[in-house]
Amino acid sequence: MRLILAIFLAVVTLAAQEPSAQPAQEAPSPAPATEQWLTGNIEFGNRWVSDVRGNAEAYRSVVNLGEGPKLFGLDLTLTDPSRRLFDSAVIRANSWGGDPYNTASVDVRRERSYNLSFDYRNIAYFNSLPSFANPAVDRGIFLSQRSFDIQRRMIDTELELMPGSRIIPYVAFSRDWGAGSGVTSFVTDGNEFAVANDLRDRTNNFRGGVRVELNRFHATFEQGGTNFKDHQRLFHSPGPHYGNRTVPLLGRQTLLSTLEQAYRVEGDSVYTKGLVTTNPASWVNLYGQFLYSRPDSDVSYSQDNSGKFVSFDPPLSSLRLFDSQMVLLTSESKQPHTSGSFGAELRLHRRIRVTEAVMTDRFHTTGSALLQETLAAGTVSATSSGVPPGLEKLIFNYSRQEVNVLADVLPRLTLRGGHRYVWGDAQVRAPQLSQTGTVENGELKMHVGLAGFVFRAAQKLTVSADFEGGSADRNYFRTSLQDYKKLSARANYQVLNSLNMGARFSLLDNQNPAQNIRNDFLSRDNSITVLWTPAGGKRVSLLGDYSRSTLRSDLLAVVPSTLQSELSTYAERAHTGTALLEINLPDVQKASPKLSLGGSFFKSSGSRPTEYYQPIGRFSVPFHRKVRGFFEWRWYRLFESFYQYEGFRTHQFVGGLQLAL
Amino acid sequence: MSGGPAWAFLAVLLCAPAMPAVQAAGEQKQEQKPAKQAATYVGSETCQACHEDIYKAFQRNPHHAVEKDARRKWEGKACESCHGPGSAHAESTEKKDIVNPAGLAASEADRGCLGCHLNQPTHVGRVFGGHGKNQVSCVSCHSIHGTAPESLVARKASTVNKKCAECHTPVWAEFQRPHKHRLPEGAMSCVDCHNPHGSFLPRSMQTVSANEPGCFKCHGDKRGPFTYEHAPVRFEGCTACHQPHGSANPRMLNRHEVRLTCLECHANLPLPTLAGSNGLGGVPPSFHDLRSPRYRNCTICHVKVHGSHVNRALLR
Repeated sequence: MRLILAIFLAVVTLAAQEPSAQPAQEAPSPAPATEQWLTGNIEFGNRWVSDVRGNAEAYRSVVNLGEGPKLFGLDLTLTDPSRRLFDSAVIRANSWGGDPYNTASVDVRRERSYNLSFDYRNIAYFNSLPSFANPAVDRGIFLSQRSFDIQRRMIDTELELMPGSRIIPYVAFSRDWGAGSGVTSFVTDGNEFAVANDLRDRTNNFRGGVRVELNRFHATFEQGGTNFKDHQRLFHSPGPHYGNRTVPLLGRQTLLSTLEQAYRVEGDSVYTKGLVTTNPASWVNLYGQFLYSRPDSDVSYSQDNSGKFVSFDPPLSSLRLFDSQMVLLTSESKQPHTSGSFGAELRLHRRIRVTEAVMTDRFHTTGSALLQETLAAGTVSATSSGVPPGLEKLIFNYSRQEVNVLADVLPRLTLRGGHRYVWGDAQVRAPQLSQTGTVENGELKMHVGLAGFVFRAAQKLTVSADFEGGSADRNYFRTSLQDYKKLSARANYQVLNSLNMGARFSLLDNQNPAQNIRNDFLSRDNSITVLWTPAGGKRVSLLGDYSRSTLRSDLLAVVPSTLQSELSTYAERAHTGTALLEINLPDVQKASPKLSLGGSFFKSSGSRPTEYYQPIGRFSVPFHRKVRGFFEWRWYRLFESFYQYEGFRTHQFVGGLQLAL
Repeated sequence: MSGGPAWAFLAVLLCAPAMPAVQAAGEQKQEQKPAKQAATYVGSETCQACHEDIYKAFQRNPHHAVEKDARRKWEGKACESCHGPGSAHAESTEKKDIVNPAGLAASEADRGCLGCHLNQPTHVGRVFGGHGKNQVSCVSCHSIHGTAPESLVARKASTVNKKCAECHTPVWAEFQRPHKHRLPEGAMSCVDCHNPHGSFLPRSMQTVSANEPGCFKCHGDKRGPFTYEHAPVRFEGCTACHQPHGSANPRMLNRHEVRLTCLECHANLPLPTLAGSNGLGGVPPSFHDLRSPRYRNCTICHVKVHGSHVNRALLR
């Protein structure tokens, strides 16, 4: 990888030097001699990471930056002066050379001929936080039983033909795939065993369509499809594994000797999309869309495990204790999903606009499974097979209608008022212990009042605010919005030519006073932003923001061990700041060395007090008109007072060059 | 549809036929304004005389297509297609005699842009989006005169994020938390999840495969459909349990420990049977002894918490 990177950098650097080696007047193109065919910049260098103090797994889960040569950024624009093949091609790449997030993109355009875009991402998903899903943490064992180390890659490519014309066909392909390993648990009655897990999934998406763009009307028709594969494997090599249970169950010490479990999900979906916008008259714009998808999944599952187990619900009562188990299952599920929306924007008067929006979203999932299970103890075995009782079903119908009136009551003041009505119904399978039947139905109805304003006192000051307040007499879940108020306000003030200040405030207050719920949720965010650029930022510029957020949520729950009702409380009070101070130092060879200082901090108290710091310092100095050298220092520190074993801190140093082409 | 909203909708529809007359009256009033309204179109070459640098740069701007596009009916008048007739300004050279879209109220500025851009798929969710309602104009995010091929709007992830963070400061603050989507690193951008032009989903969420929530584009293994669904995932989306921007809690959960997230719904208390209440209250109880560390981490046993193809209790 490093060799490829080095070769790539050398080639790009040489390519960039070509124009100077080739006199401009000899260029066969009719373009002006001054027009460069290649512009952009490249940033590359090396990163050194000091030893990670603290928990390395947490470091990898949160930061995960490694050492070695890197291509930090590449941003190139190629222009074809003859415009024969393309007008311009933009190539971008970021964080290559073993970093956890690599991206690359290419956009090629030729006016009225085509637009071609390609995007690639490679993201490392690593998560092994010792505080998460770890029943052994009290004993000082730092092994999360739900961890993974996956490499996820994504490709998106789209070709659009004849952009700017009346009929624009397009085709696109996306692929998203991940592969890796992890730790998860294999669950049996009364015990669970952390075992190795192989994960491999892939989604392909193909779509094509045509856009018809006329002066007063547009329609897009798209047909697409996906196919999906998700293969998971759990395994345990021969050997006793005692799991999380430390005491015998029904007089037996349960253990797992071998395990081979395979989960193979394959699915596909076809979908159709139709979009329309039109302005049949100068005072009205209409919008509409129809969306339909029909994903389905087919699953084959097999499980073969041996050891010493207990069954709470055995096929034969004699096999309450058993030594091996084999499970075969096939299942399938479908989810037809239809959505539609209609919108209108009416300019009733020069100063009054009305927007009307209606949408509906409906899907229902049906699923069925066929199971065969064999338990064996010594020479005795028992098999059960059949369809688990009942057809699995989930139905969801949701609709929303909203009307807003916007009035420019003064040249600088716009007021908005409106109303939203949300309604729907749902049906799910009732839980096994339900005493109300096998199916549960729910309904949703909510009225929401909307208001807002925008005030522009000259171009220097803008103030705006939005409010919505809703009330419902019923809901699906205990935490859903019930009687709530949402408020957000923003202000921006250009104090001086060199000083801009902004302030934001937002609030969400949701209450459900019902006797068995008593949900009381309140979150508040306040933030200020400062942009200071004295003398146009020639010497110094400062961009900084500070946010203060508080969140408190109280909810009633019965604690199973005491059977007492208690208020479950979650609280968080956080300070967050980001800043970037840039200082242009006195000129050296007509170019200015630059010092940048900044970074971010996060400090919270409450249910999970956390401190996370990411300061950064960067010094760059010009070596040549088009070459700058830079040196960067970063520091990462995570500290959690209740989970101190999860903290880490590390210094990182980067040295490199930035070439401007 | 019932009650108030139906009436509001009906009223809008009933008023609609009368609107051309009202609109015409409004326009007539506007036309009655004297003198400066009489400006005429002078062509882009007249603009070039004073704004040479902008004119030259504009040759490489995608909007330059307007200058040559007979279909749009602005041939040779690309500058005035946005800035309005320029004769008065050409004579006086005064700022006040020419339209500057950046200085207009958002609705007015947008009207200019939407004159050409309304009939494109990008805008189909416009009336649902927050930007349209909160009066954020096109020019807040799009620069019109840029010369680089992609200068009309930021496309590089880090630049997109910077642009959004200018207004959404508290959201950007959430990305400074330890567990987050990788936006500060430039691996993702805000528009990967949100459609700034508006979408029929709440919070202007992007959709994939026609109408599925955008989260499933990357998290395909959570898409399903599952034989045994976990209803809140379907009804309330990922945000029922996760803080999508960033969190101090592992796996970006809403609560600091897994069991507390689960207990919010699995609280061993049925929804009250209020008159007319039809909530989905029969969630399975969490009858385990939460004093034992084994049961404090629900997802150790309920491993397929997003939905299972094999087990109704989401155990495998």
